Amino acid sequence: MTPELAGLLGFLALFVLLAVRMPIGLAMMTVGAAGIAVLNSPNAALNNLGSFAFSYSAVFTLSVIPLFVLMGAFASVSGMGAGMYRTAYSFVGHRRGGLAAATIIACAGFAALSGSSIAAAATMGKVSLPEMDRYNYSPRLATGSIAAGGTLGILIPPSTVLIVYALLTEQSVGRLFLAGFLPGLLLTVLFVATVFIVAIMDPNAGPPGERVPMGERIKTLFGSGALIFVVLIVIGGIYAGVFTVTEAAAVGAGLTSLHALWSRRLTIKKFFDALLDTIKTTAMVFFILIGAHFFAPFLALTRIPVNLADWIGDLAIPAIAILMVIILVYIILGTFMEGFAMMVLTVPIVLPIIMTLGYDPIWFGIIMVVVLEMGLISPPVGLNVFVVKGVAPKVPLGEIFWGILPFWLAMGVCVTLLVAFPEIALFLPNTMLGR
Amino acid sequence: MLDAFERRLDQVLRLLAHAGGLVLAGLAVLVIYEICARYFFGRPFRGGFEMTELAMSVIVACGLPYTAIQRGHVSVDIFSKFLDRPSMRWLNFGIHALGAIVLGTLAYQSFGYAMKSYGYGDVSNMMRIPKPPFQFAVAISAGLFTIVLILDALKALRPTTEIREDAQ
Repeated sequence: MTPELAGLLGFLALFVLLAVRMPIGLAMMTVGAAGIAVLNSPNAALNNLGSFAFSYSAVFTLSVIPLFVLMGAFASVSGMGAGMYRTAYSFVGHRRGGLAAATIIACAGFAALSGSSIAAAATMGKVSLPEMDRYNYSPRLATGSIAAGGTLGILIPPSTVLIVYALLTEQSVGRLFLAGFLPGLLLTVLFVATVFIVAIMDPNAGPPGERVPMGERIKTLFGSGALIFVVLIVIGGIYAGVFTVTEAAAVGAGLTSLHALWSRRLTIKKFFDALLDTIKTTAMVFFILIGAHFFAPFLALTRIPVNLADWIGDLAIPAIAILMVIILVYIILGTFMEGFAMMVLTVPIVLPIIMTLGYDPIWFGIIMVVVLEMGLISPPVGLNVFVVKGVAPKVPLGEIFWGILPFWLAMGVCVTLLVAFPEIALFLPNTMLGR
Repeated sequence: MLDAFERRLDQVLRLLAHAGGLVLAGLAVLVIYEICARYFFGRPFRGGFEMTELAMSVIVACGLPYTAIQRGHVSVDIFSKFLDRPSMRWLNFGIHALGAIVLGTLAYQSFGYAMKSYGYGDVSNMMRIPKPPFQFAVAISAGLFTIVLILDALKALRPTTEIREDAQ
C-alpha cells in the first residue's frame, strides 16, 4: 500500500469513527496507531501507545492551560464578570440596545480573564439575561448578544485555543496573545455596532434602560477595579518580562481566587467545583492533544501534507483564492465540528499550505480563531448556543439562532478585514516584539 | 447492576478528579513560590520545571477517566438521533468496544513502559525524582478509562436503555 493511499484510507476511517460519535481524541489515537502500524511497524505503534500518554501530558509548556482555565473558573466565582457588566451597563445601558451592548463589552472584559468562550457565555448570561428580560428585550437580541459576546473569550488573550495553536505550530504564545488583542477589540466594536443597528432597525428589540448619573458611573468603574488590576498584572507581567506565560497564569489564578475569597463568594464547595470544572476541561483538551500526537506522525508518514502543499504551491491560482477556499472549508467544518478538535485535526495539513503561500502563521492563527468562533454559534452544534439555551430555557433554539445571525455576519466582516489588512493582527506583535 | 456500578465508579472517579484539582492548586502555589523565590528571596527554585512536568501528568491522569464517565470528551454528535435508535445498539456497542480495545492496549503498554522505567531506575534530571510512580498513574488512568468504555459498551446493548447524549 502506498503511503498516500494509506493516508486517504486513514482519513476515511477517521471520518467514519467521528460520525459514529467516537470521542475525537480516541478516534485520532485509533487511526494514528493503526496507520503507524501499517506504514512503519506494529512494534512502533505499540511503543507509541506505551509512551505517548505520559510523554505528552508531562509537558511543562502545557501547564499554562489548566492554570489559565483555573483563573477563569475563579473569576467566574468571584463575581468579577457581574462587576464588569454593571460598569458597562452604567455607561451604555441608557441607549437603545444598550443592555445588549453592555453584555458584549462585559464579555470582552471577562475574556481578558478567561480563555474559554463557554465560561464567558455562561457567566455573562446569568448576569445580563435577567436585566434584559426586565426591560423587555427581544429574546433574539438578548440571547444572540450573549452567545456572540461569549466567543470573544477565545480571541482576547489569554486564550486556550491560541495556546494550543501555538504548541501545534511551534509559534510563540506571547506573540499570538498580542496578535489577538486588536482583532478582539475590532470584533467587540463590530458586535456593539451590530447591536445598535439591530436596535435601530427594530426599536422594540432593545428598549433603553435607566440613565446612570456620572458619579455613579465612576463608582461602578472602581467596582471593576479588581478585574482591571488582575488583567494588568497578568498581561502586563508577560509583556514587561516579569513573568513567563505559565507564571502569569498561576499569578492570575492566585489573584482571582483571593478576590473570590475576599468577596466571600468562595465557599469550600465552590472551590472544589472550580477545581473539578478545570480538571474536566484540562482532561478534555489533553485527550485531544494526546490523540493528535498519534495522528500527526501517521500523517507525516503518508507525506500528504507536504505533497499537498507542494501541489497547491505549483497551482496557477492566486494565493488569496486558495486562502478563501480554506476559510470557507473551515466555516463549513465549524458548523458540525467542535472548534478545538477541528483545529487540532486540520492544522498539520493546512499550515504547510499557508506557509507555502507565504502567509504569516501568527496572522492565520488569529483568522482561524475567528472562524472557530463562527462555528461556536453556528447551527446545528454551536456550543455557545447550547450554553445560552441552558441559561434561557424558555427561548426556543430557533429564536437563538436567528438572534445570532447578525453577529455571525459581523464575524464575517471581521475575517474579511483581517484578510484585507493583516496588520490588524500583526501590528502589535511586530511592533512590541520585533519581526 | 450496571447502573449501581456506574454510580459507584462515578463517585470514585470524582474523588480522583478532586485529587487532581488539589494537585493543580498546589502547582499554582509552587509556581507563585518560584516567582517569590526569584524576586524576593534572591534564590531561584530550580526544581520547579521538573515538578511542574510531573504534576501535569498526575493532573491529566486524574481527570481523564472522570471526564470520560461524565461524557465530557468531545465527540461529533450530528447523527445522534439516528445513532440513538434501538436498532443501532450493536453499532454503538462496537464503537465503545473498539475504543476499549485501543485504550486497554494503551493502558497495558503504558504499564509495561512504567515497569521498564522502574527496572532501570528512571529519575528526573535535576531533582532525581523517580518517574515510574507518575508513569504508573497514567497507566492506571488509562485502565480506568477503559473500564468506563466497557461499561458504555455493555450499556449500549441494553435494548430499553436510551444512550445518554455526549456532553459536548
